[in-house]
Amino acid sequence: MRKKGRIGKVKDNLFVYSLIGYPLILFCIFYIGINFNSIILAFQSIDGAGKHFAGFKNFQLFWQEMTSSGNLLFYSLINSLKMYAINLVICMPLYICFSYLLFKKCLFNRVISFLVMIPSIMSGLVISLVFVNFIGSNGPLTELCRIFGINEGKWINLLHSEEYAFGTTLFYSIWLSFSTSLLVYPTAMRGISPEVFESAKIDGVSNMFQELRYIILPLIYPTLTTFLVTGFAAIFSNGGPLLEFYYTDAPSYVSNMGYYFTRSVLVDATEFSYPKYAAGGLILTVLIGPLTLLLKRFLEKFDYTVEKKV
Amino acid sequence: MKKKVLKAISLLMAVALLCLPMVGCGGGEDAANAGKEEIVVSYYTGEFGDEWIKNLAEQWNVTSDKYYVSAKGNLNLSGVVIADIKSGTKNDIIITEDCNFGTIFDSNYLESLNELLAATADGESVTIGDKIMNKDTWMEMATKDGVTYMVPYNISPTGLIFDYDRFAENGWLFDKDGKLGGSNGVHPGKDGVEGTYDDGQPQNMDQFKAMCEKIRNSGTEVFLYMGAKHPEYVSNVAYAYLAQYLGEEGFRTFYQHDSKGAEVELYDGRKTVITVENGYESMTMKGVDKMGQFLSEYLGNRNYVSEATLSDVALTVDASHTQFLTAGGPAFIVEGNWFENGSRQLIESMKNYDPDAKAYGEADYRYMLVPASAEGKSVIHSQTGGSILVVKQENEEKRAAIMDFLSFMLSDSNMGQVVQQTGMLWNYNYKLSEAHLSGMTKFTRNAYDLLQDTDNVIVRSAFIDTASVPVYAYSALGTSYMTYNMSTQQEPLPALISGAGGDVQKFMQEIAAYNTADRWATWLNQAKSYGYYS
Repeated sequence: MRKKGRIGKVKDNLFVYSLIGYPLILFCIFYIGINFNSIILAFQSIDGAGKHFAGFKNFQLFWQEMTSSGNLLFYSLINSLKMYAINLVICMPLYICFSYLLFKKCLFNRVISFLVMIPSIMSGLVISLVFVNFIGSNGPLTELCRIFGINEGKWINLLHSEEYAFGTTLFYSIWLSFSTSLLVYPTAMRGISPEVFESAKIDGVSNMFQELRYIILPLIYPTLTTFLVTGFAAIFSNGGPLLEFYYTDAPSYVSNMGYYFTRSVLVDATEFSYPKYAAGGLILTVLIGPLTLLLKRFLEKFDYTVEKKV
Repeated sequence: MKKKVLKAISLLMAVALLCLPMVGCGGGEDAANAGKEEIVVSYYTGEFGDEWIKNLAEQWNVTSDKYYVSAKGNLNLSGVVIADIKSGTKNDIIITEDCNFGTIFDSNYLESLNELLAATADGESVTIGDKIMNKDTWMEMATKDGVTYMVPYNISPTGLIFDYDRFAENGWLFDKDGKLGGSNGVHPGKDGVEGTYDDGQPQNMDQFKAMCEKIRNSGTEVFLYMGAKHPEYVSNVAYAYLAQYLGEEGFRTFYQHDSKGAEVELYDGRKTVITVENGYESMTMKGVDKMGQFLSEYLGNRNYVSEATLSDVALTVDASHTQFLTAGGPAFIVEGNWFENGSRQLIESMKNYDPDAKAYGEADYRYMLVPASAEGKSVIHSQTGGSILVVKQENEEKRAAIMDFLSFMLSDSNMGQVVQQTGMLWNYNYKLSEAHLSGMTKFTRNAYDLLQDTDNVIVRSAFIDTASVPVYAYSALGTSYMTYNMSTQQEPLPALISGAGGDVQKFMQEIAAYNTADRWATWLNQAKSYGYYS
């Protein structure tokens, strides 16, 4: 048999190359290139004479702002952490319960699925507009307040009042993320073999809670860890719906880290400020990167779906 | 067979890979311009629409054998435009609504426009340079080392717009005796001429207050604006108040951060000489607190505005225009001269539903000039400070064609045609024909007359003012006169209402706390690195 030359091998793999070529080029330019540039930028200062080495000055500046209360950056940090904590403690159990009910084909499960899926089907901008108008001063919610005499029939400013704004944006984020969760968790649950449930019944699992606790949760554990780890990694990059709601004028009490960076680049549209934000990005990566890996390793310890080597 | 299919798919994908970007970048040359080279004009598509530039391009294209102009609309301002130019833009001419381009003046990115400034349009005797309004200020800002890189585009007076006929019917105007709703005609205003844009307007803040109270007592909401969506519109009214309160010299001290050796009183009673080294002090000058008080008493006063105006995100451009145009709507809307053209469809559809409603161009909309001070000229601020740039060209012939197009566009007759069609006002002195003047809507005519009445009115633009002062133009301070608190607020109204809870004293304290000597030094050093203030 004749050995294939290098050209022959290339010909054989042409399909694969053509498939990954374009995304690979995009990855090199928009991920590797930009991140490399950002790392260099973090150690520079920019002025009329050009770019200069600035050591850790930008890092110091960002850290100082992030850790002194009263700054927008400080508020953003706190809100981002709050968002993750609420997501972890309240939302995740809620997603799992809802998913389980859908998996068990509860009453109106198709209607619920449809309603929850709407935000995923429609454009994010349209959904945010619908939401803003729904709760607006002339929206249906205000009309309901008038009819039922809630808040003396007056409009409740859910997006600007200090009391409600953070909760409203959080509610919206949770509503939007429901669709992803209600797609992924029930699918993972449906992947469990029916024999497992039958044998569990024989072993004494008698109600839905026991089934969820002892059968479903351990078997969908890899899906849970994926959500936990990716959610943790995105703590500081998730901007939520703030840009759609407020553009660059969000009040400080709703700001978060993802929004902070986007807004800062939009408002400080001069390159003088970029090094500070680049340094900020690196600081957050250094903080969150190792913690994400640690969390992943920690969670993997409890993964009983993987057979441990003896 | 399978191999052949795979090869075919691979080939198709490779072709697609190569062709897609080319398709994306390809121009849409029409038959009339076949064989000609394209001159790309990038322009900011606001509420004035894009028909005017397309019309001008079409007219010019028939005069050129080698080139044709194609217009591409966008919403890009200086930050994006600079990044675009630096990364090798495909655009040849850039027309945008701000003018903060100083940082790329000496970097070989832009063409000199000296030749254009010295040119005259066909059949005219005044050069384009000499037509520029407030020429000295513009040239100082747009010129570096004797080369001018920017010529003006538009200016957009933004303020309290009202329907004159409605005010007259309701007795909300002042008569010749200064009586609100009086029977002795209408006060002729500062220009002393009856039948002009400023008739019946209040001459001092007591009269302004009385007028607002009368409107409120009639059950009408006084002011309407998009407090959540566009708080910057209200800033124009606030800064106009400040500029008039401080007077020309005082306002120059405020934004140039230089009191020329004179002592200036600050809000807390201290007196100091402001130089660029302690320029941050000008942000707490006496007068800034008065501006806060004005906002608190009028535009932020819940007796005069609804909660929705202050902070409803759902109050969009269309929603606010609909509210204002509906019978019995608010008395004033804070808007600019684009307002009527932007509402054209809305006005026409309202007329379809209500035969008594006014058709497009029939309503006598005017600007209410806030009489912050009975002395001196009235001030109105512009939301834009538009500029035109030409990107560096390699082909001399194409460069000459670009200059020819700009010279054509900036002729009196073409500018007049645009004013008449859209209501857009050019930042030039130009003579309008009788046909243009009579063809304008009442609102455009009032706005045009206001702009031309330089004896009584000063039109300022934050974009132009800040671009002419290096500590803004060459630093991260940017195009806003001042930053208020915690870097969240660039605009005075949200800083006062949501930032300081409506408390003027707290508002001033937050300004002082944010604009520190350290922060100022950073901005100043950035400007110094460009060779300024050394």
